[in-house]
Amino acid sequence: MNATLRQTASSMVEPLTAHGLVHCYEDSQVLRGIDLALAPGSVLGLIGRNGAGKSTLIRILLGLIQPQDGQARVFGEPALQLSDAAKERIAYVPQQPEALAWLTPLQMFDYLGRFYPRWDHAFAKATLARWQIQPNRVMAKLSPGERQRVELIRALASQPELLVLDEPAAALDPVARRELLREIALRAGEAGATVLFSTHIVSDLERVASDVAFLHEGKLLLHCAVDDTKERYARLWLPASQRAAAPTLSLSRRAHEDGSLSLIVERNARGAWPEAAQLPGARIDALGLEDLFVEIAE
Amino acid sequence: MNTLARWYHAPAWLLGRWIATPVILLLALTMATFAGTLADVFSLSATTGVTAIMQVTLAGLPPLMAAAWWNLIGGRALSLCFRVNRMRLPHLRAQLLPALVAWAVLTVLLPAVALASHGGHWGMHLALLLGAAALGVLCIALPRIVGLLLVAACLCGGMWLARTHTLAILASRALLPWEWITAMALFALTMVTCARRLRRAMCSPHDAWLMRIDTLGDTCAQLDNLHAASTSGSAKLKGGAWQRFATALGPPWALPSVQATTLQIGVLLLLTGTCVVMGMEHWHGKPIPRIEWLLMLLPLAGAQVALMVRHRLVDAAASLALLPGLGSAAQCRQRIGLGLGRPLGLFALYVLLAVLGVAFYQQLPWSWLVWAALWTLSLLALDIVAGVHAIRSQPLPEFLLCVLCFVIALPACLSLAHSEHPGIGMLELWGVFTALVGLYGWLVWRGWRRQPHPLLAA
Repeated sequence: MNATLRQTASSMVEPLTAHGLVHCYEDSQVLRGIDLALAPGSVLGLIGRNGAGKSTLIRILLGLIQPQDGQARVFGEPALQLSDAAKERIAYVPQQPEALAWLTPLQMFDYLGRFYPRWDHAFAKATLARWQIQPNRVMAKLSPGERQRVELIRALASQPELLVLDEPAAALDPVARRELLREIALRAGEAGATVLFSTHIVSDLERVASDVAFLHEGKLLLHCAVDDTKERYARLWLPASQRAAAPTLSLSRRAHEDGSLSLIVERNARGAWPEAAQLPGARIDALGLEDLFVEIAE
Repeated sequence: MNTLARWYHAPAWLLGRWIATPVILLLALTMATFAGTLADVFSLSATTGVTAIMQVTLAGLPPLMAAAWWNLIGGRALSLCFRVNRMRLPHLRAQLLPALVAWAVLTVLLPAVALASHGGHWGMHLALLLGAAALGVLCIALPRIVGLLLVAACLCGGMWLARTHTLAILASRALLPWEWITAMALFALTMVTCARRLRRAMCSPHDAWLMRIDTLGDTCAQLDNLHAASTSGSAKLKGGAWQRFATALGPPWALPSVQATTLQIGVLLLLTGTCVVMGMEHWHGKPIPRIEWLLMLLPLAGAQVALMVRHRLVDAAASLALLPGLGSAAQCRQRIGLGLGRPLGLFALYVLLAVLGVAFYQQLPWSWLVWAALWTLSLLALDIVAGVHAIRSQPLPEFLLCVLCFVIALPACLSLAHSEHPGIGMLELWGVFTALVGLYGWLVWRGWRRQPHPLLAA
């Protein structure tokens, strides 16, 4: 196999895959058999409520936590035994960056940059200046937002093929958030990087994500393209007189005080809504991404 | 990669950087000074008879107890109080405030009255106890190293006062008006400083870590849940008597489990037992030199250092685990182990030198030194390995194990120094040592085999 073929084969390997991930913290089961695969070049937004297990899932996917069952693979390698070659292609920004807090941003870049073959020193310095972060101040003394931005620069400067961000916008102001989203879009669009990020901010997700996955009660719901969600899912409203005809399969089900029922339903394989949508008084409402998540999570 | 670059790249350089050599030297010197002064005082007291040692005991131990209590428990309850206040949890606040007052009465007011009834002026005793309690809280609010140095400096000063009998003279007279004003102003200033720094720690995890109140984390998570429950009306906060008592103890005992309560009772028993034994001036009719106590404290010092390294390791684990260039799991283990071993080995060496200095000065038997040094170094080494393998620390078993070793080793220490058959004491000591190191070693070995990678979370 020549070099070009090897490179093509390597780029075809799914950057992240997971099969049957199960994990518990003491008496609560956080993940209940998660299956996931990220296509190369995709931007997956992972969304879920507080404590849903997003951070745990991300850490397991990267091999930072050993799951109780199931297996995660990064670039085809077991996540728990990543080679240096695979690690060079990954960048991860944790939710609360705490490591190396006793270094200044410049010292940290100097230190970490030596580990990565494609480290972009110019980018790191320029972005640091553009984001107005003091380069010679110990990171422990930076604000949480500044710390997170330094971590983002660190992640981007290594020019990763897989960028994993755990709530990257949580501590950022709107301007910094916009910059971050632009960088993510650039990396995914121009460099072909695969991005996985978790967030609470649905508008961010709609802006840059190509796919969305909703983690709820330990399971991944709605893993599909962002553009498909409006077409595939809707709210079916049934009056009290038609409650008995409600479909058994639905993503959520809510009974109202007047006896009516609303359900989140999905189109079937033929692209049709459930039969109950044709009943007299029944109504199908299109939902935005945020409304969809609220309906399911509540 | 050349040697310098390899050293530069070693993660342990990052993890161990906080133990700069000058800091280690300063700590070792302070410990040696403190050890020497303390040993000197007790030796002198033992030779000058019961009156002298009683003066030291009466004047010195209650403030020491007050400082320890407010450092371990009261200060944390105080910081919890700030958080509860900010979260507007009136039930918990109502439990904490009276408890803090009760602890103040029990640890400051009552001892002052009791001491005054045995001699000396109540005002001076009260001032000493208040100062000690404030010092205890201050040590939580200050960065770890500063707090440690402050405690060591105060202890050295206190010992010097006791050694020159100034403490006994001071305690026997009333405070002058200007002394009252100065003492109260200092106390108020200290408490304001503590309050400001503790509030700051509430907003910054890094500050909280520096100030040694990062153990608030679990309690705060519970508080968040309670807060959510109370605001949503889905649950009511219960206030049983046992919970009030436990809440009063502050983190890590607030909102406790049975395990945490057991630990808290254990701390109380240990503190009480320590004071009782420290108050003993004779064993089988012979005076007791107290240098043995210092040797017993060495493993604790080593464990504290290893614990700090563990914190650093856990904080940096995620970043380091994904860093290319550290090699396979086995290579990574080796590099971290070697890198961590360097600063900690230096620390152990300095401690050992300090002990040797004290022992030489006190003309202690060499068997003691071999035992103390081996115990310290072995535990330190095992702690490093445990840290590398991210083995979770289990406070209750570790604490019970320490108490057990302490209880077994104490009579052995005393009999070893004064018994006609020192071999039995030495045998007992070596037994405890071997059992402890063996058990700990087994736990570490088990962790080693189970952990797929040294930097992965358990």
